[in-house]
Amino acid sequence: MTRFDTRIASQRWEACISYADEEIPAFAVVQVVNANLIDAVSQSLQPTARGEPALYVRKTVIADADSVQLRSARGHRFRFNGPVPIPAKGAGYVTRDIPALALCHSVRGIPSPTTDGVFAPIDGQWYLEEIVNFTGVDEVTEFLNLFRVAMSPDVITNQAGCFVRWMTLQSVAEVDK
Amino acid sequence: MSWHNPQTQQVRWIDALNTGSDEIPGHAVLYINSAGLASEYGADIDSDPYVLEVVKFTKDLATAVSSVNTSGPYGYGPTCEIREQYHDIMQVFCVNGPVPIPPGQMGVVTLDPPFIALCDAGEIDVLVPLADSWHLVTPKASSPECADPAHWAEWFRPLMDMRPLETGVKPYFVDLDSTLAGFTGEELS
Repeated sequence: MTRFDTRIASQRWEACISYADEEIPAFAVVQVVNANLIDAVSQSLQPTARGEPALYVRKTVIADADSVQLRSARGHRFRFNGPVPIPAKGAGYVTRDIPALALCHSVRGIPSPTTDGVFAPIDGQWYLEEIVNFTGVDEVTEFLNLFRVAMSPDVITNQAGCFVRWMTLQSVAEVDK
Repeated sequence: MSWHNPQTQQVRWIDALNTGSDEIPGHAVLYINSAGLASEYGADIDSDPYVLEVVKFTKDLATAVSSVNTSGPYGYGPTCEIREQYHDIMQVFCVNGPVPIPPGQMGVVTLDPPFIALCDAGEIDVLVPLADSWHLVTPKASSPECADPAHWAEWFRPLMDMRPLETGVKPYFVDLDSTLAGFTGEELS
């Protein structure tokens, strides 16, 4: 019988190079800037990955953060780091395949799949932040790629105030209700 | 299998049948027209897999990118009167692998960006499929009134020039992009 599962081996992992001056934590959300050939950047990724494009990634930057900081999830530009931290200016692997394990933060504490929390990348952080209110936002449709908790695996993180959850996409229309 | 295999090994490659009369070039941008068993399309192969029917993107398949005589969705900006040349939903497209597909034969395509796709290198910014071609273009190059990305629900953005020494239509590594709240453009520096 064909077996389906959610192992990370079944996700597509894209080679990446970090622009960051600090270590990218495990399961961090990162923003894709551009790409270059792995050979051209002299990084020690899997030898079989040589010759393929590697994504350049950085900490989330929201250009119009002065308007509404939480208006931050811009379409398809985000990935999630794997379980291995990426050294400053180093190389690693990220994914966009949902659901994915993601570093999260909430002022309300640790949520569960039964809560209605919605999360989004925010300016200057490695984690998804729970959106606790929409004050100052004209409408929910200003968001793209909202996330919600799909499962609550017991994954340990050393990131202060953060937790790791298996996240999936959240419908903007559903939030709008 | 390691979880961090090279990404090309984990891209989903799907059988596709060229039902057109022209050879599909490598890395061509293709419109997904339909799908069915290969035999339903007259393919003469031993097995009978489900395949995508892929065709050249034509003006008949294009959608209007904005209403004529109306401004952009945010109440400003130029009108865009160029219709029936582009499409604003990128996820109805796929790209061919590096191997050309002759008419009536099968190949493999992917819908999983980022991927390598043919682009017109004349100007590389917001990239969308151009009707009656195999490649992506930046609309502003041919129609300045359509340059405002607010007209587009989705587009592709270039991540890397795969052949920097060449000009014209050539492969780029592109990713899917979209917006509902405007375009920053600052990532391409």
